[in-house]
Amino acid sequence: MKKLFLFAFMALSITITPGCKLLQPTQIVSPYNAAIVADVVDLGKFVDGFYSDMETDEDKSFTTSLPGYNAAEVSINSIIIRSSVRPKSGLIVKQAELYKKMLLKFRDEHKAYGTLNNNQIRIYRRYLADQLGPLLDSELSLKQKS
Amino acid sequence: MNIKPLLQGVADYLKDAAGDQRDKVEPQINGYVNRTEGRLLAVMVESVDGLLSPQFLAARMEDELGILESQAIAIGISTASFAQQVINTTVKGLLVVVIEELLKRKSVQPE
Repeated sequence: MKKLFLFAFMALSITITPGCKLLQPTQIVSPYNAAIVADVVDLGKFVDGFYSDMETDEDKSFTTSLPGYNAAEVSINSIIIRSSVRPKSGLIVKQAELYKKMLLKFRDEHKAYGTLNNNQIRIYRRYLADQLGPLLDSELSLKQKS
Repeated sequence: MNIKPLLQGVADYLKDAAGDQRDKVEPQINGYVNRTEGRLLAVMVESVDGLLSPQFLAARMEDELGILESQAIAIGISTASFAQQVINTTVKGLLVVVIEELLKRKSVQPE
């Protein structure tokens, strides 16, 4: 009887010990990370505010706007690094890289134009918001499975 | 410009990305199609006064592909998350069976 209790105790201990592979579900998606969600939301707010301010400012020159582009690039780089250390993170990293590609493209276009008109600013703002949305959706969908 | 065929193409592409799980992600797909429609209409409205150059508009059409790719990835991750839920539930169920079996054995074990 004591042996059976000991066996049951050991079996339960093994199956519920964090890090033990026995009877642990196979992971086909990344683990959810609330910090990444917060970072993505913060980036979205920052970029939205950046273009919103630009729309109302008299000075819409690239030179004045460069610090904003740099700050957004730093934020998305941080999200890429934070995401890429997780297992099964390839697709979410890809989404973040797609966002970065668009951001840098808009920065380079702004640099080439020298300044922007409000129509261009509103379009940039909308495209970047719509490029970031699916990344946030992906991260939030990971929460459902945990 | 008639954007309906383009929107239908977006919807079909995202449904393909969802595979046989498309029913579970239909609201998400519809949301992305609506966002695409809103974005394209905004581009049309902003270009009415001629302040957007043809090069600028062509560049935005290229950007549509990047957004669509990210949307398809999000659909794929959503469907994988549903599959992960099924796996987790199955493993938890298996654990319960194992524990119940252990307890049964304990109850029939002679002292």
